[in-house]
Amino acid sequence: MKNSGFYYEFYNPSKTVCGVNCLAGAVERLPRLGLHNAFFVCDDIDKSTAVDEVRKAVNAVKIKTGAMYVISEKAVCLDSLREMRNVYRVNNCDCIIACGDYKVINTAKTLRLLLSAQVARFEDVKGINAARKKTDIPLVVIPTSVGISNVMTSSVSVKDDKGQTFECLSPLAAPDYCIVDPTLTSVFDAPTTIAGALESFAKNVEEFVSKQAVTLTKCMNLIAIREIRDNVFKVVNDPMDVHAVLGLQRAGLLAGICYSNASAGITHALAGALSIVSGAENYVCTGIVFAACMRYNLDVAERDYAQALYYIVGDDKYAATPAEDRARTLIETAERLIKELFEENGLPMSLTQINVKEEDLDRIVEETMKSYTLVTNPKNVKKEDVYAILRSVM
Amino acid sequence: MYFFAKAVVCCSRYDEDFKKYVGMLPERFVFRFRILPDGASMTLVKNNDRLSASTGKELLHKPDVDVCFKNVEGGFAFFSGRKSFAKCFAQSAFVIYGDVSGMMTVSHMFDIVGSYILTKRMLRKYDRALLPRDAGVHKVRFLTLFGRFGQ
Repeated sequence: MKNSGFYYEFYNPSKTVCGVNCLAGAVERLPRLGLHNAFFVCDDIDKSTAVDEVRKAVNAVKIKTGAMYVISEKAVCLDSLREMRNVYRVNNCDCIIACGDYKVINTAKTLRLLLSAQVARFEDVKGINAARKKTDIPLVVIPTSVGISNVMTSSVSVKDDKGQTFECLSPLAAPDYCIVDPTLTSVFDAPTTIAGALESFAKNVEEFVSKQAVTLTKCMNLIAIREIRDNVFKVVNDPMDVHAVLGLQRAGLLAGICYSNASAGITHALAGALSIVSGAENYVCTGIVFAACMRYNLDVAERDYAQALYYIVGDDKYAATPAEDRARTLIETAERLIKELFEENGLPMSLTQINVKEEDLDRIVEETMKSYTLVTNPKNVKKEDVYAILRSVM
Repeated sequence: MYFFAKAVVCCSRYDEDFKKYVGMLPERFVFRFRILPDGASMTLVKNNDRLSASTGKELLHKPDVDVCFKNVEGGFAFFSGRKSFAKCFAQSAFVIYGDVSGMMTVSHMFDIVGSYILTKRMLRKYDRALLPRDAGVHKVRFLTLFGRFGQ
């Protein structure tokens, strides 16, 4: 008989190549996957030289550029996906290479999902495990922003024709090959670093305390938290420090792998809902609500928070903090760091600063309650709790 | 499963919060529970703003949310109230196919059902929340035990 206490599942189908100047060596292996004609998905080419470098490296191993699609809008919409699917088919492409930031990778993953399942409408793959693989379309992702955590996840979000955002969770959304080379991270400024670092930090902490967390994901989360602590200020001070950039990118990758296996919690759900309603960037919303959400989970996740403190403050401070204060110290430390980083860069710190009014709360709560990450939050979330959290950060 | 299905239908008639969640589901929404490999099955269908239940394995419509418990152990833990829907999800006791927001709505609905049919002691013991209850607990429990099935 199976003992559910020792039962867990872990899924990660992606091969990861991660290192400084690893691009050439990594793409050299791609022809062995049977790739000949690549469909490139990328962001604004004028801003970044990364796409050119990737194309040169890929062409050098005799993989042609079948077609190229430049993503301009903020969220994936169905119209652009339909267009991309047609371009892919007309040019007889046999794989997708995505090179860019969050939106590029999200779009490429959605396109791969649609093409692999061979469905005409997005409604047929929407939801959890709804897509069935009918053909193999290899997907290679090359992130060019710091700490983005959606690279390795098995989930995508898409805007439908009515403007509503839908999530889709499927193993088909995960990439086959992921190349992380910090030298390709050319578009760079402090808010971008903060965005990436904060998102992966919040995700790692949430995944660590998630109901679905298992031994493997917990180990990864703690290592990722330490990577963020060691590298975030180095990158803010010196954006050309490739080893520090790589550290943040590793933390993002780990957050993504764990998200597919351990899910997240209330911060993720609330930040997503706030972003939809207010139009503010997801990382800004995460920064605003993160400490309040941690306080909300404190009574059930105290032990885990205390454990995570070690990876944030290091040996000496951890040892000097009394055991009963460690969880609270973690929350205060996270709150102080976010405040410092946000104030230095003039980012909003409350809901009123992102134009959220009292009458918007109902919609935010409704959107939050729809998010599946609430299921794995360590505490059972009720509507009243979400109202209380939102009012505490008004 | 038989009694749980009756409790769900009963809550959909008497609890105001539950009715709101049912209202959020689209018409002809089909929710199915199965226990693998070839165990019992339960289907909830929304028709004219009301939920009805059946335990037949044949379906007229493709389910919008299909929850497949991997074994009897997992199904028993859920239907006997020892584990919440969220906990079963977190421990990979079942596989879900279908709509995410539908699944979340159904999850909130089951929490309400749990707070009617489980005792306070059981809720505490199994780390479940006691949600506000509009209808009489005894009425729901009585109908769950002795009421007609499926309506």
